[in-house]
Amino acid sequence: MKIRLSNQEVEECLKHWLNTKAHSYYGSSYGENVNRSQFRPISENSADIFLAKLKKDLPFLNELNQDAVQIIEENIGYDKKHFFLVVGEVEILIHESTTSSTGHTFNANAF
Amino acid sequence: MLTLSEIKKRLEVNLQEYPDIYARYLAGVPTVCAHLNALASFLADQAVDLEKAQLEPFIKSNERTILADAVNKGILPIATPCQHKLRIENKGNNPCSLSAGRLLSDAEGRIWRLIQTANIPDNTSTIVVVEQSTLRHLNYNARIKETFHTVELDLQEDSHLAGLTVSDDSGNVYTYCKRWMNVEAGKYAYTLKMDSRKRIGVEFGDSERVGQTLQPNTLLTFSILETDGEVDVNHLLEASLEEIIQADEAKLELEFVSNGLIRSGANPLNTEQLRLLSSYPTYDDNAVLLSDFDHAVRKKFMNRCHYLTIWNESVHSTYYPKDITNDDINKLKVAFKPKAKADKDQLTYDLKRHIKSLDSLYDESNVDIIDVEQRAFRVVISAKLAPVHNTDAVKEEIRNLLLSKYGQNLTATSYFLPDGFNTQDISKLLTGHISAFQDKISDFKIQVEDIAENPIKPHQCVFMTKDSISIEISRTALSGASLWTD
Repeated sequence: MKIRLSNQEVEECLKHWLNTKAHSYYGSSYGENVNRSQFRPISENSADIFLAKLKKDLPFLNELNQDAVQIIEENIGYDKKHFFLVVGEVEILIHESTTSSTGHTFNANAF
Repeated sequence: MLTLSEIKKRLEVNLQEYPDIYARYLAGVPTVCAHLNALASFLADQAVDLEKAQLEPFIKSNERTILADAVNKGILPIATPCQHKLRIENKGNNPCSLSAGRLLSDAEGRIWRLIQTANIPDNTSTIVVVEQSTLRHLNYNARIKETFHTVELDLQEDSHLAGLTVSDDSGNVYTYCKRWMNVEAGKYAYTLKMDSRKRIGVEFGDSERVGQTLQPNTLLTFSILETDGEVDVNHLLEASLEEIIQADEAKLELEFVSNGLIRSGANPLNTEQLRLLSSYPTYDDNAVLLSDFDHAVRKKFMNRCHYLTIWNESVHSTYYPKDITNDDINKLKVAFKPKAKADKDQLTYDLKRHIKSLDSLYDESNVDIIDVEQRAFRVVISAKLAPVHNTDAVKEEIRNLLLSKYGQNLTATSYFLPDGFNTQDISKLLTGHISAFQDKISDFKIQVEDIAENPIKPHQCVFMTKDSISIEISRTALSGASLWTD
């Protein structure tokens, strides 16, 4: 059974993946700890590891060409970088994860 | 138990009602998959818990429960090394001596050890005792100070632990205690633990409470006695020295003395035997009640006996009312059938010594050994079989199945069965293993011999033989019933 995912759907998938920390779903390692690329040498290349994990978690991306899934970086000033995850026509800015359960915004008494 | 793949299969079947979502599920689109798979994983893990929680109110049947029971009761996978007499003949013209501890190997490559020093004048022969075991020294450096520090014993493959001495570099010898209860604080002691993978760990104590805390940088020496366990003594012929140190030793001829068995070797207990032990309500080696003695003795000797039972004067008066005298008061009776006949004397000695160590009241003079009588147990199985089954084949199948479980010299027939074999168990065994009884119309009835008239006595070893099993098979009605299965 073949289906065609729309750009919007692919974007939803990628955002879902980026916003899910690894191992947050019971019984699966699905997800990525985006925050780990912070405080690393700015010249470090970890895109391959990132993409390998992405393709493992979203197996349908393996059916695309090698070039269809990539990471693009943009230098902003001399000490800042933006990364973009690009799949076909979809382009997403990888930003600091906001779903973190640590920090002062976490409500320990939440039901 | 539902496994993860079974749950996922069912999920896929259900998803087929929603083709759009099903396609995305198959493609691995996370917005669809992630939570469904998380639920499936959760249910699968829950299923494991549910299965574990299933009660085994009376009979422990799961292998892991049996093993856990053995761990709790402190039953360790320990083997008994075989001891045998060996004749050494000196064919040379010079006297020769072999010191205790020299290694020999037999025709099957097992390593034996001289446990006596042999001095053999020229052209004579002498008989010494050898043991099928090897002694190995392992050094261990405790690098950290930790209470109840545990060291895993690294045993050689295919060999079992038979003995252990632990000492440290300051000359302290640690003594073995079965458990920490009643061990004084500061005493040099260790205890052995088994985990569910049958690995043995040596545990040291805590100076504040029991035993002695290991100090950092203590150099421990473990002297491990390992053995292969059971040895078929009928195939023991000649032996040869592992290495020749002096030229004269090449002139020595070594030969196992026929009927020279001193103590027969025994393997560690297998799961079937542990299953039997797990049905005793005993949790330690303090023998108080009769069943405690039976458990403690069986635990130690069941691998050297085909039949073993121990009873006291009250049981004796029930089963032998005519024979009982005043001499039977405060005595334990033991009936056993050794695996190797030659082992009988040594086993009697070992048994008496063990019973004395359990309760000093029962010293050697207060334990009577009684001969075992063989008793074939009659079973009649009347079966009705559907016409499709071959009668003779089923008969043979039933007979073989019963003999493999209740035949002579098996674990199920190794203890006193005052009520004979349990027909419920037999019927479970038959329905479980004979496919001819698994359809809807085949039926069987089990009749066992009436033991009210001729009760089974403790010294009688009950088992089934080919002739004691009779099987009558008749055909089910050929017409009238239209049912085949439900």
